[in-house]
Amino acid sequence: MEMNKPAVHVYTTDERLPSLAEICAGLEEEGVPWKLLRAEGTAKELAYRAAQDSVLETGIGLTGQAAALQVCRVPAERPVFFFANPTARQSRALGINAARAVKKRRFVEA
Amino acid sequence: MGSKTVAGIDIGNSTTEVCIGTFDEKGSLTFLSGARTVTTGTKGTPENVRGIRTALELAVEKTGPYRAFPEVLLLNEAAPVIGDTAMETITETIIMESSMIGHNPSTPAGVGQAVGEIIRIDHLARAIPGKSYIVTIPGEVSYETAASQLNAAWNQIQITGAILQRDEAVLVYNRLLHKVPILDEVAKLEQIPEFRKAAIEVAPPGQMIRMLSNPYGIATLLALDADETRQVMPIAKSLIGKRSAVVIRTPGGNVREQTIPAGEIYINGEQWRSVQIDAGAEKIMEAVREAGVITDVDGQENSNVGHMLRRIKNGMHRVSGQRPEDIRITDILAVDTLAPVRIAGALAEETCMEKAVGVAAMVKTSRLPMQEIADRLGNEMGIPARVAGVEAVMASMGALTTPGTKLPLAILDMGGGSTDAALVTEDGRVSVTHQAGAGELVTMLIQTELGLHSRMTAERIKRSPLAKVESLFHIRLESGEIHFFEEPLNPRLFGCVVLLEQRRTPDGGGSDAAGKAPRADDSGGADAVDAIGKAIRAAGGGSDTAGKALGTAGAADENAVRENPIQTVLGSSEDPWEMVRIEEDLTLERIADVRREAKRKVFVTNALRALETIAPEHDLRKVPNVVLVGGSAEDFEIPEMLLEELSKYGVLCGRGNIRKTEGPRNAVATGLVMSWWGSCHGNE
Repeated sequence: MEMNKPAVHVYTTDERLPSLAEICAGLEEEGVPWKLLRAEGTAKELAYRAAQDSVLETGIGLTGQAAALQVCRVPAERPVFFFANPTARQSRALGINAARAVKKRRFVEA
Repeated sequence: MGSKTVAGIDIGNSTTEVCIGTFDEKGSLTFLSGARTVTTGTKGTPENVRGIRTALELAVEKTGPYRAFPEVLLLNEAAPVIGDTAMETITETIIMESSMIGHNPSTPAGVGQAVGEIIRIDHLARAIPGKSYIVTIPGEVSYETAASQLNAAWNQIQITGAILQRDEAVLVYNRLLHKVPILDEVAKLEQIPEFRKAAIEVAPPGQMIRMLSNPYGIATLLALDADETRQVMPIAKSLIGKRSAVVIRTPGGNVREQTIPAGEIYINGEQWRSVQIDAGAEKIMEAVREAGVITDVDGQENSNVGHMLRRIKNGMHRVSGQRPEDIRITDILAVDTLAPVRIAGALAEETCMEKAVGVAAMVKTSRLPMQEIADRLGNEMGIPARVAGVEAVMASMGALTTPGTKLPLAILDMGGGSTDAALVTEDGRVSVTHQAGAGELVTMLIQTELGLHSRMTAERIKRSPLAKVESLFHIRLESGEIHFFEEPLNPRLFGCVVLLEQRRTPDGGGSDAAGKAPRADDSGGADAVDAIGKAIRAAGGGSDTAGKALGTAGAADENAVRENPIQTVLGSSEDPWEMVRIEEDLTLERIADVRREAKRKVFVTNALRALETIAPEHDLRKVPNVVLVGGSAEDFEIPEMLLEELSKYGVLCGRGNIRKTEGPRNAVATGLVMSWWGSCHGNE
């Protein structure tokens, strides 16, 4: 396990989801490293676990149905952002905002 | 004569305040309650009656289970002066034919400068081999496509830089085989003229551009001669402090800074003075001082200042109903400022800080029809009502209920439209002055300097301290302290600068609980009441000798709360404040600096001006203790600012605490109640 590298953790049920590319593009544009992992669960659960595992205390959960952004200490059932069937634009914003949560900069509107 | 319950009513520009008190047979006064509400209609018009009745009901409610209904209503003699403000920029930058972009995208990519001819990505096929190009990439082209096309073209032509419409500079940069500086988030990309020579610069992280903000830097990159270099000076100037920029050389293109013919101000007073408005605030205020007592102020016909003063007079004409030619400006306060003005012809909504001057003017109107209001109020409520006192005198009397005060005493009444001062000597003589400029001018300066869209936002910035939301669980206050939350904050607030607005009580003001109400004679004000009572009688039962007593102008801006363009987000219900997000992308430090500077420019200047006018022999050091009253005295930092400044002259100064409970509010209403016994018995 190389969990210790500073990165936003992105947990997804399926690496081929088109939303994932957008999420990663958002993180890349903001210049924050991320770590991708395949896992099972709902978007909220995945995001919560991803945040717990991330040294940067920030995680994204993505399933075929939804996407969520979570940071540490926020209750699992109330992610910072949550989109059911996210659009490309919302997915990009989720990636950007995960990066911004790390950089302590204000979030963009999805 | 038995005991008598009396209500004092003070109608201000923005708030109407009421105080209820009871006199026993011996004339000993007990205060029962105080209340305040928003003034209905323009001060001094019969529409005020509605607000007065609301305030009275509130005050009666607060007198306790055995409601004390007033048997006499006393209205203030509202001052016949109104203030207004206007702002005019005196320089202007115009770009003839778009020729520059300079802005701060959050994530440009690459570092350094480059020169090349502008070409759109879909025209790359037409590029001439061997030439250098800066490629523009419109929003419909994805970062993947853009990167692959740039990589493919690299073998034929030299690409030195790129300009993107989308926020994808880093994404493109990461996919380039040959790295070049890239600028992104240029909204009006289509307006960039193609096939023109251009220079691009992206600063290293944490730094600002250096070549394009230097006229010789531009000359170096674009090979300009001496004359052309002179012409790009305004471009270089407006690019100072940017993280990335493009300058395009357009043959007919030209940027120039021009000084608008701002015009002259003519001051008619004991001395006649004229002064160029672009000479700056200091020169204007010098002329105002030299002019002595001012009878009117005018601006040069068909100049900016002429229009500005005309606007003010027209506004006054609408409010007062007086003929425009009868309206006289009796004081002005000019303040230098900088305004971020959108540059005409710029491509990315750039702004340039232009010199501007803010002016507050005060106009003397004819006496307000207070008696009419009193009659109407009396009829509607079936209680005798009359106009009872000069505001400044009443305010001084009310101010004396502040613990730790005695005669002689000066009050500084800082309202919305004007700053007023009164000095009461031990033998009850009163001198009064009114100065243009107060809270509304501060609001205007804040709005201008920060380039805020909404006046309301500026108003709210003026009133509340700031904080930065650093995580979903904590904020850093302006003072540097950290405040933690148990529940995560709304993500909308994350990373934002917020205002910490105090939660308001329904009537927005302090209140007395019945039974706990302090007595006037507790506070050592009884003697003062006598002394001022004499003063009132000397002044002819309340009419102002100089005819220029002025309103407790009130906090100006109670209406700030009516509209709500910025979203209010509750922190936790236990916190004493609500967090309001500031939409504009400004740093906490910048907002706080502008806010403090605006307050200092207006209130410190005016406090000194006003106190000098009423001081014995115009010597500030001879001013006795100063009590701050009125809406702006409630401000969280102005009283401290004034204390600091006035302590240099050995003058004691502080926020009033009327009746030990009301803070700086309710001075006039309280004074009116206090004056009742004297005005009934003194003249007998």
